[in-house]
Amino acid sequence: MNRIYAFLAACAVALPGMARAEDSPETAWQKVQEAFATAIESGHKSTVALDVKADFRVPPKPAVPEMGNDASNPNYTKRPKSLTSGFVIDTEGHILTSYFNVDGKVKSIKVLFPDGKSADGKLLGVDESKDLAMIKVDPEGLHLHAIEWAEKQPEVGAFVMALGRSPEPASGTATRGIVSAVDRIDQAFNAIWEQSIQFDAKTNYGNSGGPVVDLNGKLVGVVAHVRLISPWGQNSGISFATPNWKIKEVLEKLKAGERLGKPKLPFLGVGPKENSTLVVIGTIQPASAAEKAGLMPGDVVRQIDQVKVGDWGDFTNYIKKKKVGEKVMIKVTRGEEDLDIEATLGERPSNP
Amino acid sequence: MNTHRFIAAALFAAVLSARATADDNAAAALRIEKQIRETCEKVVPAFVFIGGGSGVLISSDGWFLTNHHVAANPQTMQVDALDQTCNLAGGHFYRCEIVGLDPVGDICLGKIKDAHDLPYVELGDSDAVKAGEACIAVGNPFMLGSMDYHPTVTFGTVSANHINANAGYTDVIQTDAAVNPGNSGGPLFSVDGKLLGINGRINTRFSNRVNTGIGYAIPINQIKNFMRDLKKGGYVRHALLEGLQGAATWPDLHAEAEGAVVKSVSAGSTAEKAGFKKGDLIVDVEGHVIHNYWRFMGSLGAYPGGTEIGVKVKRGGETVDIKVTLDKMPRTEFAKMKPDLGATFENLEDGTGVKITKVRSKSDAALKGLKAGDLIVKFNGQAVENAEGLLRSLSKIRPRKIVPLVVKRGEAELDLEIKLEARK
Repeated sequence: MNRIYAFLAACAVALPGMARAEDSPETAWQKVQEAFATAIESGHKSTVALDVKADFRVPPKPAVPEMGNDASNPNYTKRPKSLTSGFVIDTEGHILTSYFNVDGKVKSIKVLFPDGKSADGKLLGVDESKDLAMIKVDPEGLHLHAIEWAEKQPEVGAFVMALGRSPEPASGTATRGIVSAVDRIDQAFNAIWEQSIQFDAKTNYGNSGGPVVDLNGKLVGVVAHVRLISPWGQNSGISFATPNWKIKEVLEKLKAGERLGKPKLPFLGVGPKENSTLVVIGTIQPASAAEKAGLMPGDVVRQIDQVKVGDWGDFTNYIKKKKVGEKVMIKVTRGEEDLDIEATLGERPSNP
Repeated sequence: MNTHRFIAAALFAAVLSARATADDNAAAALRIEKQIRETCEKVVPAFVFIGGGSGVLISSDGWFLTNHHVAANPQTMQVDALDQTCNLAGGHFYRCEIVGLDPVGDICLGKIKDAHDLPYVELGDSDAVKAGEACIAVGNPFMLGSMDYHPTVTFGTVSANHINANAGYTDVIQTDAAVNPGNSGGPLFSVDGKLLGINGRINTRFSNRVNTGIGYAIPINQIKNFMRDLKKGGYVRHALLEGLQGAATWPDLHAEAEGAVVKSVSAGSTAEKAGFKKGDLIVDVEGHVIHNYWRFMGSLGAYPGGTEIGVKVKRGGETVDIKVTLDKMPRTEFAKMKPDLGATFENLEDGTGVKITKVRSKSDAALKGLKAGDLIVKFNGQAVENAEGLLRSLSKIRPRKIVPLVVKRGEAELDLEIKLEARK
């Protein structure tokens, strides 16, 4: 009998696979669409709309209009009135969303569920630089579907979908795209303070705080950094998500109601030597970790913590993943000598 | 009991089968995803960060393509420095040189110096691209990758091919893959990772320079036509066909659809000599279907001046094949610039060398300390024998290049590096 079961099971799995070779283009496309629809349906069960009443912080207008756009409009930096998005992470009533949605003096939060039910939300913790906020509802009488988390961070090129419930909470929205870059960090120009997933699905204000899911409908991140003012603008195919591993770093703190500011970012204080095909230190910031450790301009960087440094990018990306106060061992060549230099990472100045 | 077992088995199989259908759907989508991921993995290493823009390597010894408006100053349209620097994805730093310039087609060909074994991408066939095909763009929008050297990958559709977009972009691929400022000069790929074109301008409104879903890529087949000239160095010349006029405005153009109507042919012109006649209906250029005069003009933009092309026209009831050697577009002002040392020189009276007679104040030569009376021993690594030879050497170098110079002052020999100026 077991054999028969095994055979039936094998047929059930194998037959559709065997039929694949004869898929017409229509069938192939239908299958792909079904796959997306299944993933979206699964993610939508956990996606909620948020109606936040607040005195929202209004960012100052840019002194110089961005690339000649219409910054003279009085409503330029005013946020559009609309519902935003969030999602259920457990059956106890924790709702995760973006900091953007509660950035200001919050008066009330209404959480609107897919089945038409609603509940008052209480703001717990926030993390400004990761663009995260935790909201709690009383789970009594609610059908809460906790979102499933993807185990791995998606690779560049993987399909992702940004889900939301704005403007109409009863009907979820989905925009599809691919992962454009992972570990995107840009502490100099664009204030992406911590590693984010960049993706090309269109996101607008209503998407902020919604889940980003993969082909299995599992969470890969939270729609983040949808800004009132940004050089890329909304709906430009430049979207960001705070990844699962970053969320997990602070999940318990958010539940505990902590307000997390910008993290202290590690800083060595070196600049590259221009016109050099090796990783050569060109500049040392005064009073920086590099100066204290005794690094010198002209030092050729070979390794950091025994990891080979091939490019300046390897070097700085390694440091960005460390914490302030952590020690790194840098192997450099100075003249004829190989030196091992230990540096204790300092804090990145707010205006480097 | 057996019946129960049979029902249980059937139900179990049905559950498995439904599950299998869902799995099969997911598998179909995952196969597509896998191809995109693998293509990204393959092409991203060949991405070039240059200036605030993008580029892509097309050979292991370092030839790369970018936009002219990335490598050159957008205001003056001049390449400020033929010697530039760039980084590959991951951040490895290289010195490079801008070799070939095509300001009309908005393309520059560069070369990473002393390079070998670099990752590069394969050139595709942009004429074979059809609307609806998936495509992948790689770029550095808003300089997001300038800190971590991860370029941005975006996915979309070819919206149209062979679009005569606007001046210069006469025959482009239109795409809805997100292309933003900073993507300029970066590659557009087919899903299997073949280079289809170089992303350039985008359509926007009210100066809001973000993607609207309309981006243009200069097709790789056009670039292939210019590749030999680009590698030779300096400015390439685009083609013109002198003496042929057609309908230049809508709705005349709209009414054409079947081909481009020749409205007039000037006497003694290239068009007349080639055999074009008033009333001809141009239907084909080198295998490309021509549906109106606008597209006909656009198709010519894909060729360097001096190229012989085959054109099919309908005349009366028959189709006539015409071969025509295209004229060269007049040199633009910036292409007429000549290199200048910033100093005048003459032969020594005894014919034993070349002497600097006057150094222009504020020139780079003056700044670097070149003085009247200095004898020029070597220019750009070559011994200088006489003023005529030096002039010849100068004329072969592009303006704004930095060249090494060895001069003799009294008993001392000095090494100088002087940036050549551009003069009309």
